[in-house]
Amino acid sequence: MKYLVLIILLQLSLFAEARQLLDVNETRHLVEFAEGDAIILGSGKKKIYAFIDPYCKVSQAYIKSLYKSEKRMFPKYSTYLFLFELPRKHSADMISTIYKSKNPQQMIKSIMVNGKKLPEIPTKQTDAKVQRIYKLAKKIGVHKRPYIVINGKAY
Amino acid sequence: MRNKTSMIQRYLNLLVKLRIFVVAGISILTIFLFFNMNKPLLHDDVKLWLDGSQEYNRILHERHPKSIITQLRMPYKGSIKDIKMLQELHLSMQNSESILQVVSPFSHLSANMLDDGEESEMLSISTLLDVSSKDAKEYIDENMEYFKFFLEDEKISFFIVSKDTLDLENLPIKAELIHSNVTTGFYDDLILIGILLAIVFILFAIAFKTTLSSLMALLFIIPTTVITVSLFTYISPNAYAHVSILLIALTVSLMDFIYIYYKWHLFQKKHAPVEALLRSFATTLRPIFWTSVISVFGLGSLIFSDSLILNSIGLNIILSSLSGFVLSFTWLLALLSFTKTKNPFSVTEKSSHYFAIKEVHFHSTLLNVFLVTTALTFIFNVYHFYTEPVTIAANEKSKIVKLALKTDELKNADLVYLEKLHSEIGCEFGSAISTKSLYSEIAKIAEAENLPFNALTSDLEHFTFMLDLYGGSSNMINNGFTSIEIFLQKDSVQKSKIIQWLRDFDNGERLLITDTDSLLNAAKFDSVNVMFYVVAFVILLITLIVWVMTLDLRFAVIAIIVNVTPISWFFLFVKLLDVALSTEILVAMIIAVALASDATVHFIHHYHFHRKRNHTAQMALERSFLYVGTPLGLGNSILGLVFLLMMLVSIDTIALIGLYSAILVGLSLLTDLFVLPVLFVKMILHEKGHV
Repeated sequence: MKYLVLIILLQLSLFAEARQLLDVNETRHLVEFAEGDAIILGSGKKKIYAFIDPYCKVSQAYIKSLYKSEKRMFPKYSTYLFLFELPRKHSADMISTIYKSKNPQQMIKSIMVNGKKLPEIPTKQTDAKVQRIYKLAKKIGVHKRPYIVINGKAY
Repeated sequence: MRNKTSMIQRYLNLLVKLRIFVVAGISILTIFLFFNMNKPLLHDDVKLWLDGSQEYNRILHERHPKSIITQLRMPYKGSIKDIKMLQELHLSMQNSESILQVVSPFSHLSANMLDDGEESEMLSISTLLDVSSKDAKEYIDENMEYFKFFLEDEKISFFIVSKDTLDLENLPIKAELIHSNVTTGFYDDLILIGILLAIVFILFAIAFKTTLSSLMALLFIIPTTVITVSLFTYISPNAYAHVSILLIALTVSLMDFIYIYYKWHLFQKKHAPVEALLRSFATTLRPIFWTSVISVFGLGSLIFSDSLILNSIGLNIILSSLSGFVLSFTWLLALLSFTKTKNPFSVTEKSSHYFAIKEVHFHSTLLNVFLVTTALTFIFNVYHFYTEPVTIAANEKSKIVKLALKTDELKNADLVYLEKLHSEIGCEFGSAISTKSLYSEIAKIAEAENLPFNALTSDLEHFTFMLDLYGGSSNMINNGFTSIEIFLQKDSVQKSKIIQWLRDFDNGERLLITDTDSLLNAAKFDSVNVMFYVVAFVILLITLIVWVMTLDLRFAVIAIIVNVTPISWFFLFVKLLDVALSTEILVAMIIAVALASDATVHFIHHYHFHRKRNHTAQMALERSFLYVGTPLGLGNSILGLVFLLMMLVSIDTIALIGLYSAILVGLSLLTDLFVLPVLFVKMILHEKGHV
């Protein structure tokens, strides 16, 4: 039993640091290349990339913190959000809905900050943008939400 | 000599002829200046100390604001209700525009992992303001050791950092403000001046058994002080007149007055009042001239100091010496020419004779023992002055040192600097202090994220992003500076030692001291050397002047001994009792040096004068006791009592100046009456022929 606990703790500590399949420069290059698929919050010089799921509680906490410190964060940072489904959250339809909306930033705020339940527009076919993000995430090794990339390094 | 006397006589005759104009003119001038004095005296000397000081100039140069830390202490029983109220108070203060930062248990950052099941986690940084009152209470109770800095005897402390003095009167919680500035108005000053003058009036009436002496003393002290303070405010319109200016002006004018008045009083026993006035004038002109020279060129040299407070004390000494000298031989002589003393008497005639005999036959061994002990005391003081850092009295209630590190753009090298600071200050002061900086907060985040942390290589952007995201950076990184806070965990640790250690560590390169109390401490530390060098210069000047007056090196040596003795003994007690240096001690030292130099010059002038007239040592000593010892004893006793009574004043600065000055005046008087005359006798008695 003692060994089992130790193994679990060891695994937890190994996974505490975000896994990253590619090196820093490659990761940076890929996320920068995908900027056009991202929803941008803020207009600062420093770029932050984050893979989030709109229904994930921790992703929601992250977005809430961003908006809470909007005055400080938005002029300093540009946060590029890539919506990437966490399978157990079943958010694929909502992700498509957000991407298709006229004001995705406002939708993210409504769902993730204000907790509103907005209607999902069911989609049978995954659109190209979501597919590109899926491929990017798999390539980089996104294994959790939020998965934050700063200067090509994942956290 | 005859020419000189006739010149003095001609001057006095002219003065007596024009006395109505002199008295009227000076009276009108004094009244005019008095009613134009609308600026209250400064009792809180923070501004005076800071202006011109090295560390304050550095933050001005870097355009970093100075901050005031006010401690707010409130009752705390640890209930959830208490915590809720305190959380609300912290939040409302934090949102106030006049407050830069609130340091309390609720501002403590803690880093935790947020988790929402599988593949969903992130680091979260929060303060005790972000959690419920119940959770905050549990956290505080569990980490009591960490929060002991804020919690003491069922009281909780908030430290409020602001640019200006805060008005925290309308707080929702009953709170005690630990340090706020002393503010007094013009009427408070009038009350203080009134008390001082009343004491002087009563003591003079007792000493001379006539109210004429009291009246004359007040009529002399008032215009001298008014003219000094007014001239000071005209010459330095932007400077504030510190309350010590009033006390120094009072001291200088009182001593000028007492020598002239006493001799005039005593000479009337054998001479007509006008003749007595002439004799008094003729015998006091020279010593008063020389003592004024010492004050103007010696203590007045403080005006060359960069520090505004030392500069203003120096200017004030020059002005009070000059106005005292001019008014002594115009206003005072004109006033005295209107009056005469009925049945003048000298209460000390018999005691002067008694002391003269006793001191002539004083045993040399005792004197030698005393001189050797004093010399050892002096060496002890000098040794400690050069080998040990001077301890400056700090505000005991000020428990935080606030610093800023210049970082144009935050780099890993800055973290390495902070790491070195944390490590070395920790080694030096141990658990007596704790340090909070960007380094300690980043290390906390790294630990929570289970990331290896290396100040030189870790990804700084990630950590600053996390701090930015959760508001942790707002109090830490601002306009090209990162702030550092040092908490004094134990009362035993001396703040001035920490500040000097920090200054040595950084060598004036990047680290700025930003809170007022610590800036004040650094400014005082830097001024100590200036003060001591000025006092040493004054003593050398006295020696030179005594040599010029007597052309005898032995008198010059006596002058050194007599001036060094009271200061040496005083600083021995200061050292032994571990009293930290303060403005009050330094002002008291200046007052004591001014008085000691007065006594030396007057005594030496008389003794030398009588020895030159072929009087024996005993006779010369008796005369010196009678004509100098008595006014000296009276003047110092009156001043000593005035200073002692000043301890009853509720303003701390004045009460402390009173205490230290009274001790130093007492020591000076003992030296002047019991050491100086014996030195004359022992060093100059066995002279063949005359001096």
